[in-house]
Amino acid sequence: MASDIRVDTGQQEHMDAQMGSTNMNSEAPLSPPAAEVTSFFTPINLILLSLFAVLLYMRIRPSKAAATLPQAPPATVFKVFTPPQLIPYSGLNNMPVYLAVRGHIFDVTSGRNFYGPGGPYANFAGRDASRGLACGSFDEDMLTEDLQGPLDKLEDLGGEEMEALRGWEERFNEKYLVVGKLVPVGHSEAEADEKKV
Amino acid sequence: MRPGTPSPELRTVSPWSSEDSFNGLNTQSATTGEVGGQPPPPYRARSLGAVDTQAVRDRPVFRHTSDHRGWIQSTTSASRPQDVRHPRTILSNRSDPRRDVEGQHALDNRATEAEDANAEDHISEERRKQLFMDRSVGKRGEWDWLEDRRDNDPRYHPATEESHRDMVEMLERLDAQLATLLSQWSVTTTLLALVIVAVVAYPIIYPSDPDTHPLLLARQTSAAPIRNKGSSAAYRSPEVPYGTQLRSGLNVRDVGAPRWASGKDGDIRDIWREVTRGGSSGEDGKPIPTGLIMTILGRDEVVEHKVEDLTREILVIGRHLSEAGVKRVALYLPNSVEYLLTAFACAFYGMSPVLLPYNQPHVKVYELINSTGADALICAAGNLPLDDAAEACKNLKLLTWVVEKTSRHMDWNGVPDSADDHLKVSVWHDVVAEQKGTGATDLPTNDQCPPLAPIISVWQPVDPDIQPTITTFTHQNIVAATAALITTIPLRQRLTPADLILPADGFTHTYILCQTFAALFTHASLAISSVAGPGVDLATASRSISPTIIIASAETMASLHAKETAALTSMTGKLGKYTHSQAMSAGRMPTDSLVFRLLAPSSSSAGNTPGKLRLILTSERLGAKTPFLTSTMLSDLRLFTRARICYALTTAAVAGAVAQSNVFDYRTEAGDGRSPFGAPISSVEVTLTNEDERALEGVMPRGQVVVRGPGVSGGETRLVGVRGQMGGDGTLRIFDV
Repeated sequence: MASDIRVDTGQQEHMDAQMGSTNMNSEAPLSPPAAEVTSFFTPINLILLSLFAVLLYMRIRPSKAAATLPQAPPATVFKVFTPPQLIPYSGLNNMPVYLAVRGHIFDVTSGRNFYGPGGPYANFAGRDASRGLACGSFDEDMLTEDLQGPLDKLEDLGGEEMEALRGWEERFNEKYLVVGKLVPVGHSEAEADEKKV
Repeated sequence: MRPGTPSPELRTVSPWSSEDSFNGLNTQSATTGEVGGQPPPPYRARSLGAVDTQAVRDRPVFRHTSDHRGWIQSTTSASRPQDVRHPRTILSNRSDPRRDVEGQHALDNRATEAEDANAEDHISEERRKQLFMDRSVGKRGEWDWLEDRRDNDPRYHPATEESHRDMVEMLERLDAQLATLLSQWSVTTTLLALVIVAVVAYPIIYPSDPDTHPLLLARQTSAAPIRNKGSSAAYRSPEVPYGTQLRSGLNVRDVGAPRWASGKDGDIRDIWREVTRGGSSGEDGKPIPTGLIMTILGRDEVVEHKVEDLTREILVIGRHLSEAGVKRVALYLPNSVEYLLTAFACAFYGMSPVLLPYNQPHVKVYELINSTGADALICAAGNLPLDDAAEACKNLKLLTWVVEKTSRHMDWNGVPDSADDHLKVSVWHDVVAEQKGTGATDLPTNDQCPPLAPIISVWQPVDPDIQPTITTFTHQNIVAATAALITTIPLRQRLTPADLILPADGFTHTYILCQTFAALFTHASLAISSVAGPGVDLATASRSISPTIIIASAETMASLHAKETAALTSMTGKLGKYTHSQAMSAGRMPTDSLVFRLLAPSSSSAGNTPGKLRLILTSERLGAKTPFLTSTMLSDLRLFTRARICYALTTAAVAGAVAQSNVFDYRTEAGDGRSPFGAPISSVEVTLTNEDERALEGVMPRGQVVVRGPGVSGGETRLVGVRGQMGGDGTLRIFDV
């Protein structure tokens, strides 16, 4: 039964068979160096070694690219508008919502529910809203009809109305961004209309 | 064939095939038949004492089938699967060696009975012989259909199904292989397994977070949402976003004012007043810390100055200068305490200090004195020849020598004859000494002081032949820059009273001057060294002290980098540098573990106690043709000096700096250009202008750099000779044109 692991010559086997006992000690000096070498590179050791190498590489390798934030939207360009140029900015056709108060044009797209299409103050979008805000009315007759004409000077409004307008302007300044300036058609600062293709 | 249905080709024997009713007992004999449908008779509890084993053995054994037959008498009569014997073995009367009828436990009656019944199976001897003969010729018996069904039923013989057999074989093979694999487990394997567990568990047990959140470095400036045509949006520090005011001063409150009162901007006088408040108790009862002001003399000597003595000197010198009727005081001194005292004295007495660059050729100095219109000169003794100076600078009314201790035995009071009528020569220490007991030590209040006069700074490139830029800064410019430089560094790394700050560059540069004022204002300790200047060796400058913060010039850092890179030759040093770079790119400053203290490059360059130096502030002087620092150089310098480094962009017309890199930003970029400068400081805002609109669209505009704000002389200036670009992460990048 123990004879299958023997590497001796037949003589040794014969002797041992004669002695009637298994003699493991005679094999010991022959195999230790081979045994130690083989015992290090056993499959389990190799598997663990490769696993260790992989883990070490993953620890030491250079890290990935740095974290980035998504880009902020680019800044709006400050433009000079005339009333006909301002009309398209009423929220329709995916345009932003602008309105003008005393020559300053505010970007009220964040208040689209009020000033955008279908909102209660939709009349103001893309128009000069100064008179309407001063008088506290959203009627059509508060808006300047003639877009090619001069801007509404608000001369006939009293002190109370101007006070109200100032209050509205303050609120707008705190809440919304000034993105442009309103000048009448033919003004020196007026920019040429963009050519529509 | 479904289990439960008999084979169609065999004779069907089932309870339903007979005419008897379902519930009735079947006509099949009790030995071979099925009783059908009925539950087995109840099991009588065994009696204690003598057991009638024969009666027990004779009891019929039932088993339950899952098909329509229900409980049937068990023909193979095995209650346990391992007792199921193949029907072929039933024919022999050979007794089962597993069976030990007499020795079985009394509770095991059913099993015993089953085995007994199994052995006999209620088949008579002749019948058994007949069946054997039939089977040997291949004749199928009446119950063979049952045996076939049992053979094919996977519930009885699961291992004999084809696919199952393969899988079982594979699993058994796998199991055997695994067993052999694991049987070779040895000591080395245990060690390897422990090492792997350690490698996996170490980052879990000792996690290391980056110094700052990486997303904070991903967007370092705040851009205005609106821009004019031809220029980009205004980029500002996140401390002062669009819609808020840029930082314009030190927020100085009067002594008696309540805590919530908003402070005034203040000026340079308030900086010294804050220094004098050190040591007294503050508004909330806590004592205000005192910052030390010390001078490093030579190799070993460190002289500490008392704040009261310095205050007295300021008042004395100021009075001395104002009594001479001078308006502009030129300073041609190396870094010294007298330099700072003159600057404060000019602030209190309404005079303009003219900050001249040191170590220039004499002719150049005379030129500068004349072109700035200075009428007083405070000069280090022996630096300028008196006769030539008096000859060249006819406007000078007062010349004060600052004499070092070793030369005080000489008489410096001599005046050349040619200039005797208009030039007065005095000696600093004499002036201070003769008024020692008499002068008051209280600083005058702002109403008692004459109106403030601007500070004139001379921005000289490295080449003395190039014309310098002379800039006039108001007190507000200087103070706004000082406040912005204090708050640019996040709170964790800010100047504290526990810091020792060493300016290793001349005070002529407003960046150094403003950082020194910042140190004084925050009650940090200040160490002034006269060898400080552009290009000084850091080890020389910090000889007998161990500073925590060093303000150095770019030339110093570039030469330090070159020296240390050349010294780094060993493999272990390079490996240590590589590992530290990995830690830095993960956002952490590398720590000095024991291993790397042995391996890493020696940081002998600055500070006598390695590791205590925590911050180096270095600046790029635009237009001065100084060597600039690339991103990789800065990263290497962080490793060599073990300190964080801030790289600031400075220019002639802006007090302090235009932009300063984030103290926690350790990211490296490849390239030979200047390292990115980070966000603008809070006293200025930066805009980029370009004729080409397309270069300004998008979030990375490029063009000429325009700087505006309270820190800029004249309100607005344009950086000449360079182009700027705003990086995707909000850092300002400068390229030479």
